[in-house]
Amino acid sequence: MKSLCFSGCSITWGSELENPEEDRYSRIVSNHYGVIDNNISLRGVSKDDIVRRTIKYIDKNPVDIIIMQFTYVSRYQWISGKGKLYDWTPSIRNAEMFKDTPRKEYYKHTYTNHNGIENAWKNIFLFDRYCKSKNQKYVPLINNHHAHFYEQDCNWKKLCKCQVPTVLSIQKDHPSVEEHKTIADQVVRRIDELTV
Amino acid sequence: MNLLFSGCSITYGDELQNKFMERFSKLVSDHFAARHSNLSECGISNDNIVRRTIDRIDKIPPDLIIMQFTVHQRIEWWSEDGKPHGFTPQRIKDETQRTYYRDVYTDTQGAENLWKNMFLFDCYCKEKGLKYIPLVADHFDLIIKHPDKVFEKGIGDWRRLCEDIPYTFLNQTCLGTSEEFPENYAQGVRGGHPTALGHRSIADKIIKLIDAI
Repeated sequence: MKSLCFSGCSITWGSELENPEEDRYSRIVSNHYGVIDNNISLRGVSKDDIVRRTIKYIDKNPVDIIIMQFTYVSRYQWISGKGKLYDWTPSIRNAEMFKDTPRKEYYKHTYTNHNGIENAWKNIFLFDRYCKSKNQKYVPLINNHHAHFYEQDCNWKKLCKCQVPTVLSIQKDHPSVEEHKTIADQVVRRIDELTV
Repeated sequence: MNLLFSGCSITYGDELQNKFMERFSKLVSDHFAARHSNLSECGISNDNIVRRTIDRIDKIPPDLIIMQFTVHQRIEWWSEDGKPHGFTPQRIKDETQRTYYRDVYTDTQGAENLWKNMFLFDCYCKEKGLKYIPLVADHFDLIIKHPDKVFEKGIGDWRRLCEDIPYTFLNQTCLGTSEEFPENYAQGVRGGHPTALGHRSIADKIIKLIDAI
């Protein structure tokens, strides 16, 4: 193993850890394989954005295996007329951050859970076929807080026919140090399965 | 050879007197003495075109796909009961659509959605080893006259990721503008559907593209 890339939201970034760069699961997994912790995650990012930025990154920086953590189905990437990207979430903090965008109208009038679920699986489909078309290995992850959304049937899920994402067990919003160790063990097992 | 044609009203042959005989899918298939299916539907979005085409290919794989992407403003939206709805700014049906186009939609968002769908379909075909011909018919006159607004000077990563995909703009390549070539457009309408002559012109272009691969 020469290189890994970890992509996701605040869970993979290591939010709420005292020393995220030391204690997050990406560092533990990277230490296990003796590679650098190549973590491109962003806090508050949408699934649209995770897929876009990971493909953009991998196109220029090939790696052996990508660890891809898909986030909440309710998050949405909006692009302004001038091309600026905004990651909307239903949170109060996000509402304050993006009060000058039509975020409020989106969640009030346009967003539905089913729309979020279809969009989530479309992003998974896209990333899966991108990786397969490039012979790129990857490990998909989702967290337990929104796993029930991913478990629902939808049209893009039926088309997907790809590997089932590993569900991460997290008590609160973000994993503790101990939970990051557990996640690291899960990820190592998945990587070992891929590299056998 | 089995050909699969997918797209919106352009590929469907809307406004032709005898669409089953005059549309370009029939002309191209006749040229190659090939069997063909035409999955197209009027007014649908790129989201829907890509989804239904993948669904069809998974069930009945063709030898070659002619994939026509459409107006970038359209989207597929899912209501809470799991049903798909086509949004198009020319036919706003309810308050949800009105709010979406009035408050949320931007042309950059629409254009990026077109490119994202194209990228997705390209990855899908590459993974399956399928050959396809990508066509773009973003056929409203504003876009035909000023493609720079959405395409040439467009902003966005999905557009850049599609730079190596050899797509063909149907209007600019085969039909011209409705002012210069009114005979190519049904009733000479600005940005309207192709006439039988327009379909012949599109068919000739596709035949050349198929010959090239």
